[in-house]
Amino acid sequence: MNTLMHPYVFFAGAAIIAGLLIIARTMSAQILLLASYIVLLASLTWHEFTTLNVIEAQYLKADPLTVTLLSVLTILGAVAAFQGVLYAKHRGDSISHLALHNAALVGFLSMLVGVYLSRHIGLVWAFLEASTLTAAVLIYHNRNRNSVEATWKYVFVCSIGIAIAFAGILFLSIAGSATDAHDLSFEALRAGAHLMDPTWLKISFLFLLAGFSVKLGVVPLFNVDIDAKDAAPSHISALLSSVLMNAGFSAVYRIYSVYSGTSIRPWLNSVLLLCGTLSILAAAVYILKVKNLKRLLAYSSLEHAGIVLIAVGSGAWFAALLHLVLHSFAKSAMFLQYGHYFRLTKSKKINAGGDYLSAHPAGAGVFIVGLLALCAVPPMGTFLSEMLALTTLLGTAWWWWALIIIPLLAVILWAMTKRIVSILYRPRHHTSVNGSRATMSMAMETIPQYALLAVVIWLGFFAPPAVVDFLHRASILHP
Amino acid sequence: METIFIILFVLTLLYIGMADRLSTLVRILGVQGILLFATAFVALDKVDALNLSFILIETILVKGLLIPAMLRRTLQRNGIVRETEHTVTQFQSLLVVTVIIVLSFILANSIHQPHLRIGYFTASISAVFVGLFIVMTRMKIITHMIGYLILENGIFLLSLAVGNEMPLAVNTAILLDLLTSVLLLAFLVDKVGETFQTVNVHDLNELND
Repeated sequence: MNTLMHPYVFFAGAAIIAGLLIIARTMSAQILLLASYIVLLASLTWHEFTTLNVIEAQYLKADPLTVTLLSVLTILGAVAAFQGVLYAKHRGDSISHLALHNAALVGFLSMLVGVYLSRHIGLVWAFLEASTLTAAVLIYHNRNRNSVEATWKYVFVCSIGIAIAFAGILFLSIAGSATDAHDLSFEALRAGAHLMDPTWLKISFLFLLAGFSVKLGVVPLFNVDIDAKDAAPSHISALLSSVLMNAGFSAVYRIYSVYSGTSIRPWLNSVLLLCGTLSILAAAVYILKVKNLKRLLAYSSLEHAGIVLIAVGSGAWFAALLHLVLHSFAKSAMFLQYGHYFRLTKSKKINAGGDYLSAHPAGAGVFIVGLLALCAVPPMGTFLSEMLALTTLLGTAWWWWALIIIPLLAVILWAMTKRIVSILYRPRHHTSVNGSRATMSMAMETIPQYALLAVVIWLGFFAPPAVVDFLHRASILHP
Repeated sequence: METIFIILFVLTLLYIGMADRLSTLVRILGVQGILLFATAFVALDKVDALNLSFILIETILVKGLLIPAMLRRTLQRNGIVRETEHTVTQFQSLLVVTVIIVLSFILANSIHQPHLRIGYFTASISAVFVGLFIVMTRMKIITHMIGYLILENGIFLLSLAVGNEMPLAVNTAILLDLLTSVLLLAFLVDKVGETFQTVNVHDLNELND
């Protein structure tokens, strides 16, 4: 079955839509254009699903991993686009301000599509860098002191990181110069990897991991990522914590899949385990002192990215991918609910809240279910993926890492629960100005959030065998 | 021939270690852009018109003329003349740059890889670390940006040292990204100056836990 949705058509369509979004000056035109972009995304996903492993446009190819991540992107992109319009409405932003935001959003999502689809390491690099640039516009959206600071730091550190990653690519091509892998496509690299000098491979892996760590949001360059999520509008933070993190994962995982065909695989695994554990450690340390709800959620992303790396390092690839996907949905729901929290309390601070259960019952429900998902408590699917990752780790030679990781996870669970519960139940000061209650329309706006959380349960426990099988294929290293 | 350009490039790095006035740093960046073109021109084994014009745009046009002009405009707009707060003295900074160059030289010569050009490799690794050193020790965000550009020049040299040519599509994408990121950074420097009334990194500390 061949559809007309060639990636070229997609990118051309996205460019046209982005251009039209900038000039469209009515709300209905904006919504119509956004909707048509989502249709475009969905049809691309369907097209790639029907033409798996076919090389298109020379350097683009979809494998099951691509299609999985594209599906997540389509769903979360649609939710974020919808929330973006609501956000502008509540803040009373001008239509030109919204237009720029929407155009940047379309650009950002399209660049991530490019990252997922690329089969050339240089192209992955270029698309990731382009995603930074479009993300910068989105992070800058509120144009206040915080957003200026965060955008500067984000773009600057991303640029340094991406330069380091490029050095990693060049070191890889030094290693590849002894083989036929001159064109640096993943297939050629995979075929030639076993002939390459292990030392160069190791150096290049360290550089690539360090460079892409900004995107994945793990140690060493996670700090600016946290700041960006803090300063960006909440629906953008949701995207940074989900689809952008997935793009970082896609890049790192494909590189890992190339290198793991060589003798350095045990070394790679230990690097990933170390990186993941340090990320969880950093998350635990920061979460213990955090007072800002948005940063709490951002640090929780750091923790979950760490878990994903640990899963990859211990060989539980299926668990890694499942966890990544589930985290994307759960964290997006939480960030969107944070948007409501901010509207009610006019503050990012955790101690500004309290008695959320009566102020916004529907929203409180999202916080509760979302907290369960982030803490991997059944019946949430994250329970399964985290469990699978840890049991696989226990079966490896590095089982004793679990002795460090599990206490850290417990600390994070305790700290997160304490903070969210204080928002939900702690009595509020009656003298405070934060006395507003959620309206009916706000309760209705929680529906997408519940839907996302429902996916987390469904995918973990009720997914049909075909879906599970597809995820398995997506997580296998050499398709 | 190529050795001369490499030596000149390394000399610019030493000069950067000493330079105090920001306009001097910007001028050195321009000189580096032109030197990069010269080295690339000499390094290319087979020159085809497309590749040559590509490198011409990237080095002389973008790195040599466009970026320095933009930086100069930003300096003027924000009224910045020199780096006033030092964490290290000029002498110390010159010393560190020298040590970086010597260490890079030793490192490059300890590598036995047939396809690697040692001279380029030395210069590129030095530039990368000098760029990082500038970012770490200077206080103004515009100097940070200059440090990043030095690092970027180092990466360009590294790609020459390796001699692997990326496909044209990838090269174009990389050039576009680089150009946009520099434009964006310059825009943000302006915005930071406007919003915070300061160009010092240490004043950018409002985002915390």
